[in-house]
Amino acid sequence: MSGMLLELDGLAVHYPLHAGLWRRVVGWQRAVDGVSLAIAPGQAMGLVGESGCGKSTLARAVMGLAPVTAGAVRYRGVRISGLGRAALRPYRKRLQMIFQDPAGALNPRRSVAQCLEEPLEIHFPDWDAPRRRARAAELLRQVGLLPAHLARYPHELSGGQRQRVTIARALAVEPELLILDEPLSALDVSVQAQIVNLLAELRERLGLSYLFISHDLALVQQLCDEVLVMQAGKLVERLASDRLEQAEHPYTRKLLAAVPRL
Amino acid sequence: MLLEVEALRIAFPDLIAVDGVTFTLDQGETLALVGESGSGKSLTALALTRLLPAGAQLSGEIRYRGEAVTAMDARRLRQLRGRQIAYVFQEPTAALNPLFTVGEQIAEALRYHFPGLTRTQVRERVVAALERVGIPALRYHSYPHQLSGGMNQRAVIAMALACEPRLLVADEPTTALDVTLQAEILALLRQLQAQTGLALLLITHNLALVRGLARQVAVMRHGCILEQGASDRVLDAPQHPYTRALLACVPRLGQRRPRLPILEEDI
Repeated sequence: MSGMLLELDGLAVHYPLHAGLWRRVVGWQRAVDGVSLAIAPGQAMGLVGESGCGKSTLARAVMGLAPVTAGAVRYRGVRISGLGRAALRPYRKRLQMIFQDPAGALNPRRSVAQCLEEPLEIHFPDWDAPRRRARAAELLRQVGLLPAHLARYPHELSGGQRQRVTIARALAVEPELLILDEPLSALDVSVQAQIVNLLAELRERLGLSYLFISHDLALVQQLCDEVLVMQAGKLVERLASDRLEQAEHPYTRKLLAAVPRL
Repeated sequence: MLLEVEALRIAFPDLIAVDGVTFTLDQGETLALVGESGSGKSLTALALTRLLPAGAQLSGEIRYRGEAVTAMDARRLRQLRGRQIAYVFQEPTAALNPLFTVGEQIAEALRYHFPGLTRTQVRERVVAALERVGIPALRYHSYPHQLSGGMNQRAVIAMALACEPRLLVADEPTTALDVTLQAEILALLRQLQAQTGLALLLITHNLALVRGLARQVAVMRHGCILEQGASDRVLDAPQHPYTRALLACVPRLGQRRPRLPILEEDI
């Protein structure tokens, strides 16, 4: 046992490319191509790269949402890639994912209370309704919202409030690791700052670990201890986030040069 | 003066979205309207060609080359929209029709505004428009889904510029794109402006885009302009507390802080 929370060992996700009348496989799209990394408990790891470099596919593969072609995903030393639905369920609780667009991640016809109580029903089947409601209210407080928000519907909330709700929902099952896929790109800068602070605070208070995926290098530096740089399905550089500007790989330098300066 | 906006006010039955906005924009100039969601910046941009949603009450003055836009009839407005003042929006895939090739979509705009052009002339102009934004001519026959996000946004810019407007309104043109594409699109806008003397109204919530692209900036909140001036001055020595707070909450490379400053509601 290495004591690591999450380990990827030569992870690959290849999609077949079809062509012709019979849709024969003519090649492979190597979305993720042999990625190895490890995240320790309590660590915040950043993952940067351009659109199409495979960072979202990597996240989906970790969550069991994309087919793993080769390599392994291990959680606390246990291989979770290739497990069936039932065997995977205990791990689903420990790993939660947060997406870019909170409006798309919330069901518009369900109130905040319904959306927070659903995962509680599944993962804590012996809880009664009042206990679920109390937990939902507590979750909202954790993300800086009020119990009064329980009765609201997503369209009654601002973008920042919606993203707070998706974070609260992820926290409902008491996860150890959050995988955040561009969670801030759809938000105003002032709201981004609030959510970044919330994530930093939750990490300190709950001992959470993060895999934070973003193309915004300044945000990654603010929130993470280490940064991984991904290009065309492969990791090309790994460095402490404080040393980001001393990066040596030409691709990282290109990303740095593209950041607009205030 | 190309564009003069004076005491612009946009009211809905239950709220005043824009209140007393005044600015001017001349040929070859760039003005950035910066503000958060709900500040009224996008409505201000739409009001320039009276594209406001139903129920919006417009008052104040908008003059395009001295002519009151508020007094234009439907026919005159159609000549203004797209031909004189063109728009580029945030999401290129929403601005393009997925069922037509990008070339056909640019050609449609040209045929509408220049009915006298022959088919060959339309085609030549489409190819020229595509090449100006760095899209090879053979992409004429590509559908939006066959192009990348950055390429689609280039196609939208090509479409906006095909009719040679004098003013381009770019509403969050790079928000949907990642950093390298963002830098690419901004460089393209700068280059096109230098070549054609186009005036640019940049609408954004990201202050970092302002420097390098806009000489003038106006900071908007709750429908009002709080601070307006040369962008270097506003970014380096902001006068209004809101501008200061907005600048402070942006994370910067090499300046990691335990917590980012939060913008208080009552600034």
